[in-house]
Amino acid sequence: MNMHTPNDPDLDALLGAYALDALDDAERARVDVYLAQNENARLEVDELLESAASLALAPVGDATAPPELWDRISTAIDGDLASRADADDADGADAGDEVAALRARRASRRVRWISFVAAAAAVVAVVLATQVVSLHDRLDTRGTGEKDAAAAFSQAGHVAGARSVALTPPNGREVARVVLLPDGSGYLKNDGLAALDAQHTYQLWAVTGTEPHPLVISAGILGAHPEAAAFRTTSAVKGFAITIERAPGVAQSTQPVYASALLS
Amino acid sequence: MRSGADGSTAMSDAQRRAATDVDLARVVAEGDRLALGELYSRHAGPCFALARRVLADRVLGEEVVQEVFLRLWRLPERFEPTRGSMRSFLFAQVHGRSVDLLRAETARRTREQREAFRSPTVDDDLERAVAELSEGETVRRALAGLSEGERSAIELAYFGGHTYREVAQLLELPEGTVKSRIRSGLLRLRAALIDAGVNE
Repeated sequence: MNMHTPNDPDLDALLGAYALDALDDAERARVDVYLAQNENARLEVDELLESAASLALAPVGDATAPPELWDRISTAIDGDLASRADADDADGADAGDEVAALRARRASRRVRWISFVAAAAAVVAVVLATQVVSLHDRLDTRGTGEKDAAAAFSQAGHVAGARSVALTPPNGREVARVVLLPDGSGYLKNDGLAALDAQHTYQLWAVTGTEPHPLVISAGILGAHPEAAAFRTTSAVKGFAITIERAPGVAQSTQPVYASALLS
Repeated sequence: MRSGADGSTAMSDAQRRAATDVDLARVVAEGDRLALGELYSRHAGPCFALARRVLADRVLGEEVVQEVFLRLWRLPERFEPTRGSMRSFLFAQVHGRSVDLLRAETARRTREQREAFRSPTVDDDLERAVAELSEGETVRRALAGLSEGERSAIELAYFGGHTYREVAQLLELPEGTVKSRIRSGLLRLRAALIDAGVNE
């Protein structure tokens, strides 16, 4: 069952400023955590964001994007498609089907992603309604400290075959980055996870398996205010999620996803 | 709409022009670049105007818009129709990224030295531009309906890129007052825009 935190008047008072991006990073992170746990606040923020967006329509002079800007975007998309085609070639895919393959992959990813994010947005009782396996001790227990993990994170990004991803709350900003190496070693770096109280901890989850039976496994307990962490999982991970749990963490999460991302 | 061999759907030009933003987002997720182009033609102008106004820099504004639309292409699932409109989603992305840039120290240093805007380009979609002007006027009137305190706090925060703490200092008001005015102002703005038929 989802833990629904009671409204906090101090944090509620920040919701308007949150919608206008008028909070500093620490306050924004606190509100992000609050929104992940409080549906009423989340609904209010959605409304406030609509109001904020309307402000952009207030007359501000010329509202025409430079024509050449689309050309630059289109060129960047060409680069994306070329990279995908190269990857498909490396995987033995038919180069002539690269666009179809891209579409299929994107459509497939979208289905998974919608399920994934819906868990956060709708605050469902069971994460993805999938089997959740406890792998509590996935965090590197060989004495790797946060400082070492941070250094390893930086180095891991340069390893051949490393995949990196930024985890963000729904409609939020990046709060953590993860690098996953081909051997299943992973490193997380805090990029905006606010400090929790002593009764709570962040927990990292890895999404594996295949549709229609995705598997969500614990990749490690991150603590109340992690700077960096090293963990081990499999190389077949398709994405990561972070939840906020009661310390010392759980075997099976019933919390909404606080931040998440799928590996491309 | 027709189905491709891969099960995806492709839109004709006419269908694309008539499609809702949500429909376009769905085919963008299937890799339809032209659908992204349609979304761009609908929303890039106001997005660019917003970024440029917040950043007071045309080049940075272009970079922000490029980044936001590429992000939509690469991560279309980030747009959740149940949580708001495509326009609101894009504006929120543009504003957030613009504020991030604005608050970066280098941007802050150079902000004072920026040149005036270069000459505007020509809009090739007059009908859409007029519609946006009309909506913009409605928003302007709705803003005018707020109290002076609410309006100034919201404008300084949104268009100035200031935190509410900075707004409090600028207006020489307690931080709590500014927080309260921003929140109440936005809620009243939403109610006014719903009454005017701009927001649902």
